[in-house]
Amino acid sequence: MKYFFDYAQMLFLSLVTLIIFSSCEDVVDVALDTGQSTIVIDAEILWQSGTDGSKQTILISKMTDYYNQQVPKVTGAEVFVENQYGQRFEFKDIGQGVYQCTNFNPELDVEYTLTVAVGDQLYTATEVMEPVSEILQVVQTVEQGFSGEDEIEVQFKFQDPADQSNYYLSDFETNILFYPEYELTDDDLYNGNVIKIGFSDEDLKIGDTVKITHRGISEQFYNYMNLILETTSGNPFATPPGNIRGNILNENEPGAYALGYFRLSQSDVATHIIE
Amino acid sequence: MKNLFFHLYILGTMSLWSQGITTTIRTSTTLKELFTEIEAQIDYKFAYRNDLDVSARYFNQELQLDNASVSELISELNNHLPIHFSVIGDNITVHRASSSRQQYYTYTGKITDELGDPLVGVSIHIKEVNTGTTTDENGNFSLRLASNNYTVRVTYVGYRSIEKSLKLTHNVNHQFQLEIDTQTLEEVVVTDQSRAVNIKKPQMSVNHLSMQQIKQIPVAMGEADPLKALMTFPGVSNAGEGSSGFNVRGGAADQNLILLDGAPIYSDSHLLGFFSVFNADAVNSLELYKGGIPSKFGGRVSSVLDVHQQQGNYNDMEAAGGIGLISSRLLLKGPILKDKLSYMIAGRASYAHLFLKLADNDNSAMFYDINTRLNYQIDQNNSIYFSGYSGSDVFDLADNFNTTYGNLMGNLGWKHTFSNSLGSDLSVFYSDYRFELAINTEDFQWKSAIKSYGLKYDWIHHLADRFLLNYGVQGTYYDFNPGTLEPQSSDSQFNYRQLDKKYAVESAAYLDIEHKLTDKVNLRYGLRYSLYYRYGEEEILTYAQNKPVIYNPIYNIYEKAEPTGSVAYGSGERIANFNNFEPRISLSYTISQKHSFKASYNRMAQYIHIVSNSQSPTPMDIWTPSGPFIKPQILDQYALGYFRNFDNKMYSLETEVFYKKVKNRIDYVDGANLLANNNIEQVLLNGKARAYGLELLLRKNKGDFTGWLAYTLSRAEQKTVGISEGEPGIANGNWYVSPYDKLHNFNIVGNYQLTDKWSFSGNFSLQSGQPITYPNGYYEFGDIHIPNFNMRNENRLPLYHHLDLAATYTPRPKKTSGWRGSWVFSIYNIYSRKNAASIRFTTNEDTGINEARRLSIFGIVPSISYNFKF
Repeated sequence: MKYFFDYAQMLFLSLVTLIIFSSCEDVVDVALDTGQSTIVIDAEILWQSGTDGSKQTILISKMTDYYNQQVPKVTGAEVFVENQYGQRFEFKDIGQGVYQCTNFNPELDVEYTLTVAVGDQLYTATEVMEPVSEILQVVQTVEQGFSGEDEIEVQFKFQDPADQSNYYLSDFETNILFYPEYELTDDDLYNGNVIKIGFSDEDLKIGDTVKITHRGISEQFYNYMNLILETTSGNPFATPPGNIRGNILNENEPGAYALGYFRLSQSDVATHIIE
Repeated sequence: MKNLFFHLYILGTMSLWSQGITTTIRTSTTLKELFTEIEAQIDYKFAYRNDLDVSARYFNQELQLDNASVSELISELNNHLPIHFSVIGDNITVHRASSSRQQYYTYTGKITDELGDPLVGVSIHIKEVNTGTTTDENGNFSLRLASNNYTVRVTYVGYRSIEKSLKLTHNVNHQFQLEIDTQTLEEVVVTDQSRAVNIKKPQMSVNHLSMQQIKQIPVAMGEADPLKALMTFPGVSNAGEGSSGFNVRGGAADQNLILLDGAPIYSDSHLLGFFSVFNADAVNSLELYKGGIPSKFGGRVSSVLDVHQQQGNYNDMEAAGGIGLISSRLLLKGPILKDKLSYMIAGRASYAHLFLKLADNDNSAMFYDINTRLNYQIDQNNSIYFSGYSGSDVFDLADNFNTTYGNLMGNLGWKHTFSNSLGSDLSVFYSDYRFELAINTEDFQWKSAIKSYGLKYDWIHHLADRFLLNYGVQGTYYDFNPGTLEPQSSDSQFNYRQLDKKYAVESAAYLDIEHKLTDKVNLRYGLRYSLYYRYGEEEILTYAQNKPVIYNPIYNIYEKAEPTGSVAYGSGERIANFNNFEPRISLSYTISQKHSFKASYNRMAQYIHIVSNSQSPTPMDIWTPSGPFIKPQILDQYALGYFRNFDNKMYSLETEVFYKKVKNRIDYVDGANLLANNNIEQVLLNGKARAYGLELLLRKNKGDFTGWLAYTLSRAEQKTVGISEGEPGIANGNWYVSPYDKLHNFNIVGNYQLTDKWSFSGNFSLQSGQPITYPNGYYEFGDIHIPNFNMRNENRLPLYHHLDLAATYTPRPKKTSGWRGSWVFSIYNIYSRKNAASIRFTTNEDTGINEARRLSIFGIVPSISYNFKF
């Protein structure tokens, strides 16, 4: 719902540019400070429905200057995940900051703990694997955008369970955009309904591929991702959240936390080709 | 002769061109007969004093006029009669020619209050000869003076003083209407440009603007705007072009009390801030109180904007209007029952589908305003008035996104005069702000509203020469709907939801004393006692230790607390209450007639708030009342000033320093969901705010060139420490600059009257950029780039400046009746500065590279508008 209201506010803001001909957005050079090169642990365990989920990757990198084209990768770390029954899954350093596990055993509602040792610092994080509601249907529609041009929209539907609070993170990957487009959903206002989540872009055309990944997530990760998306949403008039803390703790120096998040989601994937 | 003829052409109406005078004057013709015959042929009226014997026969020879012009007629009459004729406006004035060199005339008049009641004992002072008189029990006065140019000053305690220039070349009669001055005794100007600062009055920190001044300031798209005009004064700013609201002395936009004819208005702008809700035609004048706020006002901590609508006209019908690029306006006023009942009605509407239509789609955006005022004079001591306002914005985008929002206000009052020294004003009002939004593809409609019902009873009491008392009581009942979500069809994914409605009563009693202590020391002091109740029906959640927000030290974040239960309050049952004593005091110390020091202190309480995460108000913002988890904001403000007039009031200088602090300024935790949140207390933190600064205002008040130079040096900060020890709060619990902090703010406004027909004005504005947070790096997460922001509002947007020019052309400046038009040509941002409204940090979706993108709203904006009166 929050996301939806941000959307409405963004609509108002885009009206500004519609009303005023002379308004424009251009790229400017801004001199920026260099912050600390904090460790970033991007640990997503994604168990796609219909697979055994044994192959998982974790990414470790560092924060860098805003204008750098590449983030520095962290190699040589020791990484493993342990479930609440003491079963341990090793993640091997395969280079470029990528750590891979091939024998992971995903189980819904089971608690997992991540341990990462980088240099003399030890980081840990704990989360539970969240279930997801399966994608029921993918539909393609045409909507009129603000510019008056028709835009193709790809929408998927799923059934939200009525007896609980649910949180979802979905992303759309296409061949036309460089980065995935994330949508964050909580069922506060839709509880128990068939929920629709859509993606549209003025450049979508026949033959383009849209890959939908739909995840169930925890409330805590929802809150974190909400902040992450706020920094990138581009609402030009909102104050962006600063120094977003995830769930990764530094066991040696509690103040020197790592950026990023350890989360485990069941996911459902659908691929749609624009027709 | 030719010359005179030419001048008369310029003066004349269109009728002068088409009408010729044909008559035969015989020696038997009386003046009266002549006047009647000529008045039947032309639009001019003969004006003469009663001591002129119009039944006498003055002609000693016959006179034949055949299709003569007015000037020819006058010239013939002046040649043949011992009487002097001249054209003044639409009148031909007639008086006996005198042989003596030094002529004496009588200056007479009547002085009434706004409702036409005669005022007794009003002082009329002729400055140049230091003489004067007072009005009799019918409000009349009479003076006999030598022919000359004079300055007349009309003063009466409790009313605004008037200064008027008097050109006594014939007998003159002036009618004055004095405006009650319950708030400030700031001078209001009727005809001349005298805006010199009032040295003696203790009131300080006030910006006064008349509509005439407002219309002279060039603005984007040529739409004269009272709020934009205010921003050329010290201490007033906003979040930049195309943003709603305004910030006074480092205060937030929701801390301004906006009154229209005494009733509150909750939203101040149209089209997302491009235009204010105040139609410049319908507004007579306004005052902005930034400090030293009299105890009559309360309920907001930063400022009071007191806007007065135009009054009707008891005698004649008048009309005014304009056609601009954005909107058209029309105002009508006149009598319904002569001398009894008058009306004013003004409408303004933007052209529907304004610019959006041009973009070749179905989008539309428009706004409208309707202002009304009725005055009914029952008898000498009683009158009734009604003020009304309705304004809305309507957006319809691609038949999908529909939104309507706006204010509705009505205020009905009864003014009663008990005696010359005691008057009262009893009024009831209704005012609301409604927001509606529907998104068809999402199958839902969203509504929110604030409704208020109020009663005010104000008294003015002239206790003695040295004392003027204002006292009264006020009460407002609020009905808040924070939101209703309605699915529009059965297959909508939304569930119906009604957020808990909230009810509150805010009441106050006040006493305000204006006290002339000595010739040099004037005091104004008072006390306001405000009392606030929050009522059911509402269910309020309870939390452990009464803390709706908890700090999670492991992850160093704020989280919603799990409610421990709830208490259901019945309808009318008290949920929470607050009360505050709000002392106010200001004083002036007059060093000499030319300069003075003033000082003031005021405490104010604010019980309703807007929590918003954007830098300026948006139409969706929701008012939240104080209650079990949100305390009222309390302000203390101190101000000190030095005021001086130079050069016979040609120039004036106002300098002030201020310091203010606000307790219980609410802040929100990062990522807070502020809309459609039924338990908003779970995302709010209690903080405080402070602001301090220096303001300078130098004006040139008289002459062909007038204008002002304003400079503000100020700082606005906020501090939010956590709930308990060891928490980070916001920005680690340190002071950080508010989003509306402007360190430097410099404005020059100039107006130059070149000729009667042409005047030019200019405005230059230079300000520190707005606070913004820049990233100190980025990282990759979930395959996207995340900019990392460090300390809130540590950086600034680039310097903001623009120069605007306007020219006003009045083709027939001397016309005083009939159709009178003027053209305004303006250019906003003449050197097309791309001022940054914001800079956002985002990844280019085509190249994948991080970039900083600047949004600028206005480039160079030329515009033209036509204004008229008839």
